[in-house]
This record gives sequence, structure tokens and C-alpha cells, in this order.
Amino acid sequence: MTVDYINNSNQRTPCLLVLDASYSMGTMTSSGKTRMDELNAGLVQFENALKQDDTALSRVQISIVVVGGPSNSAELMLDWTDAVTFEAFPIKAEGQTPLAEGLDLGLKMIELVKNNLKMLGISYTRPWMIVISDGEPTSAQVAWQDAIEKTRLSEKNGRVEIFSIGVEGADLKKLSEISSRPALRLSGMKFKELFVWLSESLSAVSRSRPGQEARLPDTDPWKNVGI
Amino acid sequence: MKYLFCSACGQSTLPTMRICPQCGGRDFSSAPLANPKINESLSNQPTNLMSGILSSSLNILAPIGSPAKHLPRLIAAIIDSALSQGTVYAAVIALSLFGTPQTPVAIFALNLVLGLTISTLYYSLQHSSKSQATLGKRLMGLKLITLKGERVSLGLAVLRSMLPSIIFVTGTALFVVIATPMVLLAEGAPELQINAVAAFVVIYLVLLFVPLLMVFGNAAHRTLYDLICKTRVIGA
Repeated sequence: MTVDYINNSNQRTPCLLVLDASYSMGTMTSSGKTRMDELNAGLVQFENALKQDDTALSRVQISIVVVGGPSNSAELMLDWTDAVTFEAFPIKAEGQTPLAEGLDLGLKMIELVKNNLKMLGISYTRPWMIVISDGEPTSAQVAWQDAIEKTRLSEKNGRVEIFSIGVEGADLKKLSEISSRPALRLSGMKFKELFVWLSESLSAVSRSRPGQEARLPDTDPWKNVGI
Repeated sequence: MKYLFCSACGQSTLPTMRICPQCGGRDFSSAPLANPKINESLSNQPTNLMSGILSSSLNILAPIGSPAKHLPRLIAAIIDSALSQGTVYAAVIALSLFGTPQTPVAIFALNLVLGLTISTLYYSLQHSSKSQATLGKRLMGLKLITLKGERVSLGLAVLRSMLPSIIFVTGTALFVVIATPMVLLAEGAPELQINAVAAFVVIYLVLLFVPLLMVFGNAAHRTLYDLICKTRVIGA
């Protein structure tokens, strides 16, 4: 973990992205680009939007768990990084979708950052976990049940806020099992709009005090319907 | 930003990267590979990991870059101040060849007009140029951009370069308007007069340094002038 707690002891808003980088994300869309291209473009938009917001820049922390991808497993790709040093990077789509393992790892990473922040006496808002997938998880049913029990319990206990987002072709019913909040479908390939929303939402949350409620921007620009 | 490079494929990565997003490799080195296995456009990006990849193919904004570090920025500011002030003095000397102003007010006015004109031209023309940087910034590998990552317009560059003078002159003028009557009224009370002068010195220093010291107060290292003009200085 490389974050600058010495020069920046501001309150933090950790945000963990669980990104599906499985083979199906390499599917070409009608725009002539793959879903992964669009997601990579969304990450650049995310970086740019964060860097235009001084509060978010000094308070948001990002970590990325990739599901599938070049290692074809659930892996921590980016350890906790302050938004000010975050730079988008291109992810390659390959392999399967072991989402249960990705969720499990995501929860562990969230506990890790919270423990670190507590130890350093730095306040933080409730961490966010954003799950983006385009297909059905390939994890074993037992592992999936175990993972969703953990995510729902963590959410119920106020340890994390989870948002599941299904790209075209995603099993929204399955994704909705992750959280008490229904999964949202990303209309078209509006990754850029999604990540701008995410940046604005994180900015709103990072401005609030721990325990306070923050008003989030409307999701209409990027999603179809809530289920 | 110091990058690491995947030992297997040469992909440049952030220091906090745990596996390579291109090949899944787990070993990273601080030096780029001599013969990277991946497409050149995906590797060894010196400033931004995505630059040149997505901006061309997907028509989106290029990544913006990291805030300028304090020390290079301080050195750049010293170089630029020395150059612009040196030019002012050279201009004063050159003009004196045609006749020296006789009164202190005329000398002060000449210095003020020359200083303001030359520093405005020095900073604004260079910041709005293709290099987006003054000579000092160029030497230190820095440049000025808008919050959207674009080059600043000439108008915005002029405003930004005049802001220190505007804030300083306005602040000082206001203080003089308020303090001068007090000093005059306090004639015969030297302690009060000394306090007024001391307050003037403090305000002078605050107006001079606080806008610049604000770089330490935000993660993007923006001065008050950057905040007002919605600009930032980054590593080029």
C-alpha cells in the first residue's frame, strides 16, 4: 500500500472497484470497440474527473480487483492508491469470471484499508465497493453463496456500500444477490458516464463527515432501470 | 510520478500495481525493458499510462497528469522571477539613457508600470504558448494547464499573471486608505504609529506569500491564483 498519510492526513473515502476483465469483455460492440475498450476509456474519464475536484483528489482512495484478465483469476491489480497519484491503465480482457473470489478479496482489501486508517488515526467514510460485470459468474455455487452472504452481512453491518452494475449481457438477477441494493444495468456502453457519476458521488461522500448521509447525483445518465 | 515496468512484457505501471494489467506478470523493475514484448503504444509511457492509447482510438480526453512537486516549482518560480525582474531593471536602465524621472513618485510609477507590463507579458505569452510553460517551468519539466487538461488561453494567462499584482496592489491600497488616517491621527503617540507600520508589514507579507503557500493546502498543489483561474501546474 503506497499512500501519502504524512503529507495528507485528510479524511479518506476508500473506493474499491471489482472489474470483470473476462474474455466476454473483449466482445465487440456495435460501436466497433470492445466492452473492455469502453471500460478502459471509462477509467481514464474517472481519473480526469477526480483530478478536476480538489476535495476528491485529496480524500478518495482507489483500489482495483480484477476478475479474469491476464491471470485468469481474482487478483488484486492495484493496491490502495490516493486519487492524486491514480492514473488509469489499460486492462486486457481474458479468461473466466470468478466473481465470488473477487468479492471475497474485495472485502478483505476494504478491511485492510480500514484497519490501516484506524491505526493511523485518520477518519474515513464508509468504503464503497463497485462491482462491474458483463456475464454470469463462473465461481462454484458454494463459493458464490459464501461470498454473497459475506457481502450482504458487511453491508448490513455498515462496513461497506456495494453497487453492482451489469453491462449488456450480465445476469442482473445474480448480480443483485451481492447487495441489498438492486443491480443496475448500464445502458449501452456508457462507461464514461458511469465513471463521471462515480467520481461525482465519491466527491459528495468525501465532503461529508463519517456517519453523515450524502446526496448522490442522479444515475439516470448512465443506467436503464433499477430492478 | 515514478513508474515501474513489468519484467515480463515491459508495460509501465503505477508503483501500487500488484499484477501487470497486460500480461498478469508479478515482477516489476524500475528500469524499462530493452525489448518490450507488447505493442510499443502500450508500453513505456513516460508520463501517463494511457496516453496515446485511448485518446486516439476512442476520442476522449487524455489523462491529466500529476501535480508539480514543490521543489521544482519553487526553483522554476525563482528562475522566472529573476528573469522577469532582470528584464525590468534592464528596461529601467535603458530608459534612463533617455532621461531619468526627477521625482520619487515618477520613479515609482515608472517601475510599477514597467514591472507590471513586463511580468504580464513574460508569464502570459509563455503560459499560453505551445510549450504551456515559462522558461523556469520548462527547465524544471512543468507546465500550466486548465482543469480539463487543456492549454490556457491568452486571456486566462493574462488574468493569472496579473492576479498577484491586482491582489497585492488592491490590498495595499486598502490598507493605506485605512491606516494612513490612523497614523496621522496618532501623531504624538509613537507606539500606535509603530503598531500601524508593523501591521502594514504583516499584511504585505501575507499578501505576498499566502497565495503561494496555499500549494501546501490541497492535493493538487494549486496556489490561490490557480484556484481563481481554474488552472493547475503539472509535471510535463
